Amino acid sequence: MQAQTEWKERPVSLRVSNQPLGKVLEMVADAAGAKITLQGVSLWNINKPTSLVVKDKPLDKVLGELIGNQNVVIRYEGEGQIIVEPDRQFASDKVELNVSGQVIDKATGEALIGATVLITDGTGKDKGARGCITDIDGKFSIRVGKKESISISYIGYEAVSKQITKEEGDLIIEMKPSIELDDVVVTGISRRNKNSFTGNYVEVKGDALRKMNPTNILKGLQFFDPSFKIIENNKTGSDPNAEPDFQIRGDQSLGTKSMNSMDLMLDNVSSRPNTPLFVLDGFIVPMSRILDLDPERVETITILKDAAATSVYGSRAANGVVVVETKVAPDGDLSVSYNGTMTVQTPDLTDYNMMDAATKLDTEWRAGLYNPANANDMNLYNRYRRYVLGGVDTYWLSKPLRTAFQHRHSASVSGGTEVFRYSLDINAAMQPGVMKESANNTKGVNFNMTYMKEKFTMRANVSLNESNSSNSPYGSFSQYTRLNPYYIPEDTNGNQQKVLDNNTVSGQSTIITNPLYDATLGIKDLTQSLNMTTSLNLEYMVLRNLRITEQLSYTRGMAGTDKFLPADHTSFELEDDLTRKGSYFKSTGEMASWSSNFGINYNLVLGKHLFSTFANWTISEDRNDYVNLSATGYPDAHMDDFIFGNKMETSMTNIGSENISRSIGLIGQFSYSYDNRYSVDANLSGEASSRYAKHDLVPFWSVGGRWNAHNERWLQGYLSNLVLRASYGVTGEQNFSPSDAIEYYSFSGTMRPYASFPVLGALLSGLNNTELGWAKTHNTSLSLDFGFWKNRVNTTFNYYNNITKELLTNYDLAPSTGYPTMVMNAGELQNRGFDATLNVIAMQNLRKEFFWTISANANRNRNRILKLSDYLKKVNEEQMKSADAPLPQYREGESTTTLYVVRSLGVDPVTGKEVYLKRDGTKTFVWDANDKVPVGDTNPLVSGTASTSINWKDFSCSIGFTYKYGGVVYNQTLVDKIENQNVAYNLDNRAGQGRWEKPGDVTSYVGFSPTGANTPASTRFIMDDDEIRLATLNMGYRFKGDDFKLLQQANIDVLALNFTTNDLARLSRVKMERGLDYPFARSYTLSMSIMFR
Amino acid sequence: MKKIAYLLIALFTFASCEQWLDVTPNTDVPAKELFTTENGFKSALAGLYITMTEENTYGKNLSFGLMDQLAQMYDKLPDGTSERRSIYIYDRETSGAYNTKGVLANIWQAQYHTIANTNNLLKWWSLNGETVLTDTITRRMIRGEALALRAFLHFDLLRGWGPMHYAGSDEAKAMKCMPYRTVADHSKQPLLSASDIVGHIIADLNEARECMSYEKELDLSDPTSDRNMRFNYHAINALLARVYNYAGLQDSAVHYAKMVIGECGLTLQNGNDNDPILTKEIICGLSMHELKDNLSEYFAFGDKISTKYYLSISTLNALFETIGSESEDMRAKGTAFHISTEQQCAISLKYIDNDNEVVPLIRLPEMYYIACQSVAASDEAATYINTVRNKRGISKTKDVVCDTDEQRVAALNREYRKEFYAEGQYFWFLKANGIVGTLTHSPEVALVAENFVFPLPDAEIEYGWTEGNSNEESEEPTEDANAKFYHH
Repeated sequence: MQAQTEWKERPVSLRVSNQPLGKVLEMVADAAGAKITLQGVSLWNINKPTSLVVKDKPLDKVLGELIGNQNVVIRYEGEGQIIVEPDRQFASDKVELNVSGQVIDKATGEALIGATVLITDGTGKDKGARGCITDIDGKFSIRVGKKESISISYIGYEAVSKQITKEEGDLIIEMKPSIELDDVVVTGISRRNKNSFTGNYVEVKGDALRKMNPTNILKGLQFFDPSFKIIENNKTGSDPNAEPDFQIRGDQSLGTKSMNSMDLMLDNVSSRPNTPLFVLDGFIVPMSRILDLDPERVETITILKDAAATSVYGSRAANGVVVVETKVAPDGDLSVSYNGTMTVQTPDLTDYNMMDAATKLDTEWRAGLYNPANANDMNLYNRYRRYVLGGVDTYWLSKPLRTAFQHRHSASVSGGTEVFRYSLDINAAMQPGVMKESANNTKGVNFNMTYMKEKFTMRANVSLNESNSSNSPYGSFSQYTRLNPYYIPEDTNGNQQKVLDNNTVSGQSTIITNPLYDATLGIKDLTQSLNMTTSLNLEYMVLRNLRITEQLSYTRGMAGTDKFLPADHTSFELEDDLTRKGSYFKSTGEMASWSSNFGINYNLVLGKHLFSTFANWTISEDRNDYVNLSATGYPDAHMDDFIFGNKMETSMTNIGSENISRSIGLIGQFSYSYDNRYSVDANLSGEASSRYAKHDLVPFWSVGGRWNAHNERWLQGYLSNLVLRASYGVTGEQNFSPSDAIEYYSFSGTMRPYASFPVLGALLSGLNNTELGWAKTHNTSLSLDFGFWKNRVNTTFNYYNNITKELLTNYDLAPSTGYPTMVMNAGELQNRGFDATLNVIAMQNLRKEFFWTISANANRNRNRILKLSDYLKKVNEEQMKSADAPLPQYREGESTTTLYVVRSLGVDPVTGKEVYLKRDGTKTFVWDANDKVPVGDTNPLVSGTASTSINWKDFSCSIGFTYKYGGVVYNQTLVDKIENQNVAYNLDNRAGQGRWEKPGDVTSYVGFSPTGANTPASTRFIMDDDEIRLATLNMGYRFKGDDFKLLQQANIDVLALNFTTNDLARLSRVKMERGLDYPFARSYTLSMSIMFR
Repeated sequence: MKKIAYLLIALFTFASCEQWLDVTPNTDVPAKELFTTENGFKSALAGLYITMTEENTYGKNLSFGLMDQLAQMYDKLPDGTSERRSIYIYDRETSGAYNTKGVLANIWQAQYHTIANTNNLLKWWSLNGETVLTDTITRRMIRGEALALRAFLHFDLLRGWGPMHYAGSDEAKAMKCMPYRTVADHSKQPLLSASDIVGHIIADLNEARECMSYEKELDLSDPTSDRNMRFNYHAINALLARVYNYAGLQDSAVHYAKMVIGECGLTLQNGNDNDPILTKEIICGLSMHELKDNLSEYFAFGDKISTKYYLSISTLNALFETIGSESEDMRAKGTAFHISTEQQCAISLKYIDNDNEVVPLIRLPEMYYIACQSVAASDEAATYINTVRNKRGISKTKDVVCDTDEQRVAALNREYRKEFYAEGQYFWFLKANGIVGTLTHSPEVALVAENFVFPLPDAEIEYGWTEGNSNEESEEPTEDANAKFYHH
């Protein structure tokens, strides 16, 4: 008796938020080392979300308070058995029947533990009030009033109801898996059921992305969708301030519209030709907003690929759409969490192979650079030789570099009730790059609240983001790869020398300046931006199946750049005019935009038929303006403000820009699905924009069909998943300036006073084309999803054929019209290809919580120009003439990324000259631009990723590779640092070897010439660009507070640690310098996330 | 809630959207909005003059730049050339050479760009002029100036791309050289014969003169008026004199030249202190904002001369005949040139010492020269040229005689070169009179007649209405008799 008393008063400490009462009771019992059984009893509010915070409180008191004043008794029996049974004293007058049974999975027969059994009166009014939960064997017993029903629910299963008319002893309730709660596709504008959606999409959870790349979630996307490609920029390398380029399913437009940085910062979304459209929480945003977004806030990313998925975005959807959803405030009591990442970045110089001082000087000597008979030459040579013998061997590459420590922190506080929830996130990231003093720092605050009451939901969000970035004062990395290793950067006093050498060897003098000197001067190269976004989402359920929504958003932003070079900077070395030494470039800009989406959603279920319609009305306005100022004459580095300039640049061109655009869009969507087997979708959207002369609605549309073959009876049991989808549609893209369509007068080029005119001058901005319309992409897509072995093997295969018609291109005019070109709809481009993914759960052991998964994917895209405008043909001719690195060229029948070069037969062993193959097949020593032929495509034949991961209880690890095969690349290093070398600068180690010296030498490189050869582009430098890269290696462990005393003491519920390395190793067939202006880096990241109790 | 939804939809029906979508950036104004105010018309007119001060036209290449390089007014070779000849090889595009053909193509493009704007202004004048421009004077002024500009711009194109010595032969007059554009659109227009172009120019000028007749009494010497910065009544007369003189219609040329001399109010100046450009003789000029800042780089002098627009002292002396006979000429003195004995060179002060910020288009002495060339009586001719010479400081004892036509042209040849140094008129004089081989460096160049006719820009041949490249909807232009004039 004594013992029993003690145990029922055993102290309980527990913290639970928003769990059903039944679950909480179990947890309380568990915390006291006991088991709780509900015998023939139904509890009120068994399903009601309950929160509990107790500390060292006696068990019986806790249970008493939880259950409250109900007609039950709680008995504490020996060996930790808690029995809850009806209090006979208050037995109801009504006839109550004893019902007991077991809940099992219909397919596997497994018992379902913790399923909720609720008593309802059949009308649905009393739903969720009384009931019990199943025990460890899936069993339950309950007393139910006659004619009442029980409803059994379990997460992930369809609810089952049963009316009770008689006492039941061992009722077996079979439940079948249901469409999960999150089984919807987020298209940004509407939510669609995954099982009937006909579009082609890929959805990825934020957690999975963060594992692949904890600092840039977009870079992790390629592991989940092979058609989403990162365009690697060999110039900007791992520069934290360079905006990466992405592409979905190839180039959809021709020509490059280079944009200035202000346009990028100020939200000119439509101006980047081949970048997908980014949508954040339902609103179209510039890519920079996604890149600056704290990765921790991302809930899911959905890539929409074909017309059926993207046509709701109509005119802007041609390049695909990336939809990012952030986390919503969870319900429950106050919870605090912290996420931190620490990244170590180290420069990756493995692709550089520069000569050391002795080798370089030796190469110069062997090349005959110094004439032994010439005293000046010999003096020079001996001076360098003295340096080399004295041990000078400056490794210039490492001078501007460092190991960078980046860190990112975010703290989040959230909580609330079922009705009202809120969350507040604060985040900051300090991201220095591997070049000294380059950095990209961001700070942000985000407040999110949700109010839900009956039929009304309101969600509001306010976020403020700031980003500050600075470029390295050390300048371009390429300067350092050119400096001779026998130069000494410091003078005898240890100061940086301004001029390293005045190299007069090859007859002409080259002043070689020291870029390290520039770094000591106090250069400024900063960019700042600040933006504030507010959004409000309202949702009202008019009827159970009729919903109206309204989304409002407003964004206000500012951006500015400062570039300051003092007079001492080496770039002014040759300038005599003091008022022109030193320069300052400043630009500032502002943007504001707002948009409103109004939507109506109606669903109708008639037996096996499911109808759903959706209509949306969008209206938006974007404004931005910026001004560029530049001045010269800054004698002193301390006078580093614009105002100290000696004179303003008088050029009035490109002084800034001011833009406003408005658009109205209508979207209609209709879908029908039969028996979860057949679905069809139709989308229609129209947009009218102020950018066009005619403000008519331009229609874009798509139709799609889907067959869930695995739901056919005759296939069941063979396959767990078989889905076929097909769609066709038309989407558009707008990419030109308003004056192309409308007759405009512009003041911007003539903003100068003119004597006797009281007004400023204005000029016609261009010959407008009132007929101008949207370029349209016709998109055909077929896809097959295939799964077997209980869905442990899943494959998808997508074929697509996108033809972009009426491309917007410049059309030549006779110059006597006064204008050189006019924009017209001309040209056609095709992108055809497939992407395939394979996901396998190779091993799984549910009991041991062990999973091993393998994934691989591949994409092949064939890009072909079908039709070209005359203007582009002329651009081609110009580009064809170039003997330097191949420039982009466009030719009908070829790809936009085809390389055109003259075919080379190698170096003639007799003469040492390169032998070229003319177009007609004859051989020649003369390089002629007319002999250029297409030799390959820089886009790979196949590219994709392969990854595998293992999860065992709280431990996880994964490894991911990317590969590409079948493309070609023009090896610039071979040309610049080996053959076209200027010996005044440092060379690649290979430059001294394999050179033709005398007749009979069979070599790959022509003879060494001290002044540098002038090798034009030929196939000799075209290489197969095949590559395998170890992109990601990740390991993680979750420490649970319950298991570790230390964590408990620190009030930590869960501590998760993750270690990730990115770009650790790379295997390529091309030996070429990478990261020309900014080196590539390897990164090692440790991230930590803490959930406090 | 339902009602609110209906209300929202009703509020924003598409009926009102048309207007809402009509937005434009501040620096850009739709034409249909601009031409609803008088100031809008004035802005469009001001735009024409302002764009004419740019580098490709009268802000450099059609004044002191390419035109005077072609006329060999400077001793230093243009950038990128190694021999003087290379600037006359128009169709050579080898790298390193001075891309004369490209510069000419830019001039062609820039002139037609201004013409297109003129035509668009005239289009809107016809559409809205009556209702918007309620003040008669303003209405007439805008049309008059626009027509005069159209004629002026086409005339300089004709002087470049038209034949050598137009007045000299019927063959020259019939040469198909360029389109005369009267509409701003993307249509191709045929190349017209030189005489047709002259006809169009005179027709435009006559109409312009009619429009501007209200300012017959205008006194250009009035310091409070800046009408000489724009096309005015006298400037139209002066331009008519220039065109008739070009066309060899001597009576009309003399008539208009005398009219300008008598009516414009300006007088020849006898000093150029602090005003080497002689602002008080300008019948029509362009106002260039911050002229000195813009042009100082071309005429800068200092410890080390880096500009290519200079003369060596010996060339200066030869050109202005300063040693001995004509040493009193103010046009060669320190008031007109910065003369550095140390560096042995001279740089014109016309765009350095230019407080009025003006680039001259037509100056009064030209009227005297036109009168001299076209007037019948030889003694009268001599009076005109000697009046200018005397005003410039050359004593009457050195007066020239104009007994024969050859003497007139020879005298004018020397005077044009001196008077219009760095103003871009001399090359036109040589071409209009068919004078070959009298240039400073001409033995070195062996300047031949063909080099006076500029080549059509490649793009014009390719995309314009030229041989074998006609407009589909119109008939072929008539047979081209003088193709050889513009093909090299």
